[in-house]
Amino acid sequence: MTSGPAHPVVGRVLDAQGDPVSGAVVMFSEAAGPVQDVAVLTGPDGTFALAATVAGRYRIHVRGPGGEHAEVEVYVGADLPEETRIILGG
Amino acid sequence: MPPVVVYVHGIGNKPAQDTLKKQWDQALFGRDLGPASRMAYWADLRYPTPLPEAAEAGEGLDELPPGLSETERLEAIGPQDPEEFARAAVAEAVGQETAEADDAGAAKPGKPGKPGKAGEAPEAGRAAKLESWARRMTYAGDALAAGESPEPPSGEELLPLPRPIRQAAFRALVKATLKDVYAYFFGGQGDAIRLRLRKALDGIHGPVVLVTHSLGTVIAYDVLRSRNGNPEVPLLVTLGSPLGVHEIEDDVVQPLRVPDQTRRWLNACDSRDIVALDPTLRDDYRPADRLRDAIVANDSDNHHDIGPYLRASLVRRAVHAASEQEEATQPHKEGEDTMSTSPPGDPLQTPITNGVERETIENSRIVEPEVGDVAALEPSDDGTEEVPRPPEEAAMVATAPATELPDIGLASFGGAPIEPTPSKGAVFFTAHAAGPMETVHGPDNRVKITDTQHYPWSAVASLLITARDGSQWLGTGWFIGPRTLLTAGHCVYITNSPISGRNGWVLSIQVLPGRNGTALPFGSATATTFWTVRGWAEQGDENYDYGAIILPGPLSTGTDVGSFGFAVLPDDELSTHVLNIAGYPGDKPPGTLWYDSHKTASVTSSKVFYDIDTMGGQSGAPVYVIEGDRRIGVAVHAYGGPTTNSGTRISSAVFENVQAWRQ
Repeated sequence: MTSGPAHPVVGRVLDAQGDPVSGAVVMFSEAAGPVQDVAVLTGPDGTFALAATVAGRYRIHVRGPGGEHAEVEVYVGADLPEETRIILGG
Repeated sequence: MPPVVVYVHGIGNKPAQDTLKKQWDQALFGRDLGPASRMAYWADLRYPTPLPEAAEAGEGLDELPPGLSETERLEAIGPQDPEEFARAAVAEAVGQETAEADDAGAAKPGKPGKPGKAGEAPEAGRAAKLESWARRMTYAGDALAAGESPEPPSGEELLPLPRPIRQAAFRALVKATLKDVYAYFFGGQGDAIRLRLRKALDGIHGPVVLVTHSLGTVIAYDVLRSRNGNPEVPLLVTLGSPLGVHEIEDDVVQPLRVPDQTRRWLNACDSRDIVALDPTLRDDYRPADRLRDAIVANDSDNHHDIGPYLRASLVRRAVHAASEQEEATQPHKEGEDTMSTSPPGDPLQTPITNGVERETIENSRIVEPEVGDVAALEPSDDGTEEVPRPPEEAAMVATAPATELPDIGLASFGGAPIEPTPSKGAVFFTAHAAGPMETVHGPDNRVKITDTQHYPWSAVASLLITARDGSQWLGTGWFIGPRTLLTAGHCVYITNSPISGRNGWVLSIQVLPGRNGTALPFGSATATTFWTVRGWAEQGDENYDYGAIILPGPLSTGTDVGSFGFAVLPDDELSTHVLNIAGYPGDKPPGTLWYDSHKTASVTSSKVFYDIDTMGGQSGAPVYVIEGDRRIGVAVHAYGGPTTNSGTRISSAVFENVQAWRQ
């Protein structure tokens, strides 16, 4: 099975004060189809970019450097926002 | 470039160098190879006058004068009593007239690397070791003589070889062996003898097929193991080798390993060859998959002469194949992407690398695991690991609530936070009513591993991956050799990414074996050389999603952390197995190792599916079965899915590539 064109799922992890969180671990915890079982670390500006393989509902899991967790659900498709913001410890 | 065939002869006097080389050529190839073969000749260091040209290969062991009857010959060789004979043979080898002085400790101990002198004896331990080996050879020879030439019941002459002849043949072999072995290890001639092989190898700029016999196998092993700058050796052949004899194993270059430049090692002997008392080497030299033991027939009088070994069809086939394969090989290329010969069948299984191409090798269907330098943990009898689940964690799994997480729904686009994890991941990842969890299905059954300093956990590594665009990723890899880890293809080569500048080989991977949080029991290494296959790199096809990481050298601690085996299992066997996965998930405390097991859900020709809980960061983890205490990889974990997770199956094509990548 050849993976089709991937849909970018771009986001930013912020703390309760709205500051970017660097080094947070971000991964899919639910997916509409098979996803690579990797996790990406947020950059200095808190951003990350994952790739979804098919359109549908996904759940993004974040583990902050301090051990705090957060999850958000996104629908990958035409209406996916350019950036998904995830607040840690809010 | 066609290989040069280099021979190293064994014990005893020999015809002159060129004559001997042509004899070996003739026996192996049926013709004179001319400059395409060389003889690393060292007999002249031990024997001033070569044997006549007419002498056949392998002669030269018996230095007794001609004209003796067989009984006289046997008597002249030494005492009849095996113990006395062994003692006398050792004493003679070190230049003593009798063994009594040795027993009395009157002589000064000799030193390795110093010229031996008449009247000197090796130190007691060395003499005892040689005597031990001499006794075993002598008894084995006597037993063979008795078995092959039983006493005639009525005293009539038994044809063709009465027992004294047989016995004399074996005992002459014992004596000649001890003399040259002593001279090599303890008599100060080792350096000069090894230099002959070094000189024979010098000036060869292409690959070398090494064919060695008897003590020549020891010489070749020591040179290949101890010298830098040796040529590539696609095939090392050892015939009638004492390298499996523990008295010899103690004195060759340690640790016992297949030399680095040696891609394949064929060790062949006749089980009646008393020089090769332990006929197998695979049980002692690592990695075992590059070494093949074979029992062949050698019907010379002492079952040790070189001629029958060289003419054995198994040996000839192996040498011919190595020569022809090398001849057909394209020159190695340096470059960003190099491509080796496509395996038959599926062009998408063609391996590619950002490093330097290596030739593929012949293989079996299984590569055995190795424990390495670390202590191994015993698995359970049910095909899983014996991992105690902490009581509180076990209770949580048992009582994991079926409640769903807050439904953040579409509002989550804005980044609405969810409730923090109550306490343990097991609760947090309980199935969500709105849809199945991607990689944790139902209660989280993963168990934390803490004793990562033990095998097999020592052979699982946390990966910190730096992609081309500078983004950093977490993954998992598992050792399949001292310098090679298997992992997912997408851990070494990113494809189909919509992010600009990310696709292609990753820049580097930091490998942290046996990591447990901040504890790195085996240090770390950073790799920049990787392998995958075209099916993944060019097509992004998950059926081909596997790759390898080549470490630049040993780990910073120098520890051999052991390796998983890997195997191709048939569908019916794989379908009924319990599968095990251990990896480094990103949702758990950083750098901690987690394990789970479950029966196979289903298999295809290229994938294995299972309901084993995993999470992002476990890509590349070993999917393995346990047979006895052997951990055998059958797939590379790569994907989380809505209902089952999956890995790339070790099919025959994958096996071939992985074995070739293994270093």
